[in-house]
Amino acid sequence: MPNLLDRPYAGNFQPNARRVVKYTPDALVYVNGDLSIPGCPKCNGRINIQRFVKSVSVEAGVHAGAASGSIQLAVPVIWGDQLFREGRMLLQPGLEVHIYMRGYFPVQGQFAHLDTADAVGQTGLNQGNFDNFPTYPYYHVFHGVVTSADYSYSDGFYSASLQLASMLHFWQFHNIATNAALVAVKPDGTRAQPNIWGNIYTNMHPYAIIYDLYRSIIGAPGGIEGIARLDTYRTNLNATITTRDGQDRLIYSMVQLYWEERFRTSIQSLRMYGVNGKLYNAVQQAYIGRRNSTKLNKLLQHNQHLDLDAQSNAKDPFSRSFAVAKAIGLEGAGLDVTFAPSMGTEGASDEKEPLDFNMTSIFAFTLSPGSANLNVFNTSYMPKLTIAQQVCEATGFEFYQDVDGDLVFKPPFYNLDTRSSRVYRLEDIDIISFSVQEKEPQATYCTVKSGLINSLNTGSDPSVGNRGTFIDWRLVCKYGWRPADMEITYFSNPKSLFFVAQHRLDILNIDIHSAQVTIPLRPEMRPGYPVYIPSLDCFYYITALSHQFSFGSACQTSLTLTARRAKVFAPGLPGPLQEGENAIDRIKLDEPWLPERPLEIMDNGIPRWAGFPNLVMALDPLKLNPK
Amino acid sequence: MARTPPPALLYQPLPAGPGWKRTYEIQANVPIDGSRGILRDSSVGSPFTLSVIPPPLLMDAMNRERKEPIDVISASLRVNDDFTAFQEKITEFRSNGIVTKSNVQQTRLETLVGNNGIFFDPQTGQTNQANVLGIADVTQALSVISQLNALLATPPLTLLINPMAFSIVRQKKQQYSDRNRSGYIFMAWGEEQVRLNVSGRIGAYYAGTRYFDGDSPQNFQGHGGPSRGRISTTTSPSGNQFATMRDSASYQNLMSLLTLFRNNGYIYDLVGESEAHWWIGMIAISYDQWTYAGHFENFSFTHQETTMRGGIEFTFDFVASFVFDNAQRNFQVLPIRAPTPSPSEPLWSDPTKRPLPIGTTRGRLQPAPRLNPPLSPVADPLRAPLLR
Repeated sequence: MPNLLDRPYAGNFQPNARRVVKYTPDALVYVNGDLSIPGCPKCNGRINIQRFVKSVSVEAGVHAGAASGSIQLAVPVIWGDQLFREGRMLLQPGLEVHIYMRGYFPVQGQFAHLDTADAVGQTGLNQGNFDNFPTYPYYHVFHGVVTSADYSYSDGFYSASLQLASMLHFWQFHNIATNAALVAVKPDGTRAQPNIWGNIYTNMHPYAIIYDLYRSIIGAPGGIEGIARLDTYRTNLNATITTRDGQDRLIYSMVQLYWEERFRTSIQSLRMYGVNGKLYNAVQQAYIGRRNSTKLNKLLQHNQHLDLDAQSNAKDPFSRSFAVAKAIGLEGAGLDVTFAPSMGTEGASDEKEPLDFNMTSIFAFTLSPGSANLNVFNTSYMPKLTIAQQVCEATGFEFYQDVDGDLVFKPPFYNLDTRSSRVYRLEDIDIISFSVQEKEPQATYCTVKSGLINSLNTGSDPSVGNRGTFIDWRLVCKYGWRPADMEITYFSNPKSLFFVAQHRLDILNIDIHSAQVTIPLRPEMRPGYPVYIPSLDCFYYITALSHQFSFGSACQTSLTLTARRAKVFAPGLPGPLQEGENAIDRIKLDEPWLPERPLEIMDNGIPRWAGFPNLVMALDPLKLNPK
Repeated sequence: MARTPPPALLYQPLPAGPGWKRTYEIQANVPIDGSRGILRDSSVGSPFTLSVIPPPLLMDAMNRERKEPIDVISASLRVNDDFTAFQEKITEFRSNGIVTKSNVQQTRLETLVGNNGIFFDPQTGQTNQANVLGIADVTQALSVISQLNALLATPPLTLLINPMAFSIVRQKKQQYSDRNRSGYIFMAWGEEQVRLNVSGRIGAYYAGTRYFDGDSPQNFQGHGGPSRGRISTTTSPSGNQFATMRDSASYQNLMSLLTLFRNNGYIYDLVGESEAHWWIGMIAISYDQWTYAGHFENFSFTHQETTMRGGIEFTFDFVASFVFDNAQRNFQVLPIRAPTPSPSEPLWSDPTKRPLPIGTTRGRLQPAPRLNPPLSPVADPLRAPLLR
């Protein structure tokens, strides 16, 4: 009898058409850089906590406070007596935690270096095939600290849990003295100076602020206050300690050293991206971060810099600042910082704005009539995190701690095409559950205001300054009038403000289309990148993700998705085609009130709907032009 | 072929996790199998055979050019692949450079893993260390290779006695409890994975005294037995009794099955000794020209007061990820005949056409010309273990 596949009467049955994916998740928890923690202080014994970890959960996202985690442990009594000895718990707040998880996709080439000359050769194995040998790498998914630890005893067992927060957690408590008191008691070496403009970050461009926050690790000491008479103020702010080398040192300086060691750049890096998504290296970051807007603008507008072929003194890194920029690979990188997505220079009302939109002109802290202020006795503080969030608010950038512990300052990569990356493509077989939400917009029209002069905040008085208002009439028809306002200082002409309002509205309404997806554990993923879902033929942007890992149980990754990008169906006349009529003849781009009319194409003999290509360019811009 | 069961010792290298290791003792007597070996010949009967399949994903990666990332979805088979394609994959994998060619090589490899990548040559006193990589541990890679070699060298295990019951459970995945205004909402999700329920019974505990001609040294010298000549007295149990349990072919067959259950096709973390397995292969069960590739779910056997001299009953559940129908049209369909010549048979009246008893050669059953080359119901490459 022929087998199943050859039986003519069973031709509609095909075995093994359904796939079974087999993978092997794993998680490792490092506490203070080690898989074990110190146990008995007398014998230097160590306690391997891996054997007690029963589940791990980590979250990451594109917001500063998104990265967090938790660890659940089950501890036998014999070990509990070590971990919780004499009422002293070894697992306590402040411990630094790294979590690694084994990847979903095997990777080849990790062992290509093995050759017959070393010990492997002694086994007689053929070296050539190590090139292809695959392995599952471990990925860093969390770096943070224990913020709370608890344990309980019940039924002869200890249960413990650790709550974790990312390293950015400390940015809430590391303050910057934005305007220090003129007359104040402060330790030597304190970076706290009075500022006549009211804030040390006034008119500082975003890259410089973020870079400065990153470099000033612990910030300024608290309690810097001015006094009229010394006998009215008692503090240990200037307390000293005698170190082992016999020198008296300020405790504050020792604290500084401690935090610098903890956040030294080899442990936590800063990654800053240009507007077009280019990642700056450390030297470029330092170059951009240490120059003020004026210098940077002058540099970026310089012909020598913008012209890639210009030689002149470009090879001499010490001659001119733009030559330095070229030497460190920033040539042509003006477009990384400045970008004009919808506004051309042609016809700009203000010719002093050659590229219209310039990141170095966006200030989170601007000069305003009331801002100039010298504090005599009081010091103004701002937490580093608050400052960073204010920068994000002004720029639309994201600032967060990535899964590998690095700090990221980047634009949202909504438009990145990640289809070719298997990591960011969610095939049907990957998806365990999927839920989609579509909700009302936050705003249907947006007004952007600015002063008459760039970089000067003239307040919200409508009689002063310029304004631009964009109304999305389709949204207004559907949802009514929902206002949104914004004040900026980097544009002063109404046309630019109009387009800023248009973009601002898009950002505000980004959550109209959102989704939640659960997939098998995929620690390769990072927040801040789009995923492509082939079955829906659309992209979503990962604003947050979480890895739920439980030994002996399901291990899954949950994605919080927003900013759907899907194909667009152009407006068109409904109904079947008439004789001699082409499908494209029924598309009416100038009649947006018509219903959507998808184009039907044949894809390998299967009819499929296709989006309208290049729709943005196809639309007549005059119909939307405020002029 | 499978008529003679392989020695239990051949299953020793099969990794079974950091928490379990099967040890073997030198056996002074001979395990006796009372079953009919011819029934375990796949050309005559339908033996129940289990074999280990290396991780298909790993084989895929090794069998092709480097291309990242590896497609985890098509990790094993294309839809139209049959078991022959699977066998070819294993055969190609066998030709790979990471397969050891001798026991010496394999021992060296295991030594290298045990020494954390450091090879010590006792002849020269030299040590040689494998390059250590930061991201992926080289000792781990070598351990994976070592275990792969053990999988490839493990012969298929044919049960001495076929199971008493072999049930194939196909379960529909569907849901129709939701209601709407006019009736039910029916959701069909196809089928669950095929589940096998197998229960069987092993034979009696039999062990015999070893006879030898005295020309060759015997292993049990120094273990209580004489070194030469015919044994006159024995120091090891023999016959059918509880004491011969561990020396019996039936119990050893069961223990080898247990070893396969423990292995379950996994590549274990023997370096870190964790339960976070590195790779997942499969177990293939071949029976009645079908092959089921998947994993054991559970395994149990019971000692009872009524089975003190053998006949332990066992059961296991098995979930198949892949199912292959290997049947081929080898014989013509002929009129049914009685197992013994009988006058009631229609052809009895014609002596020239009178059926002969089964087993006689002038048979009526003539093999039809084979449309395809003969196909073994089990993985052929696994039947020829490398130098073990």
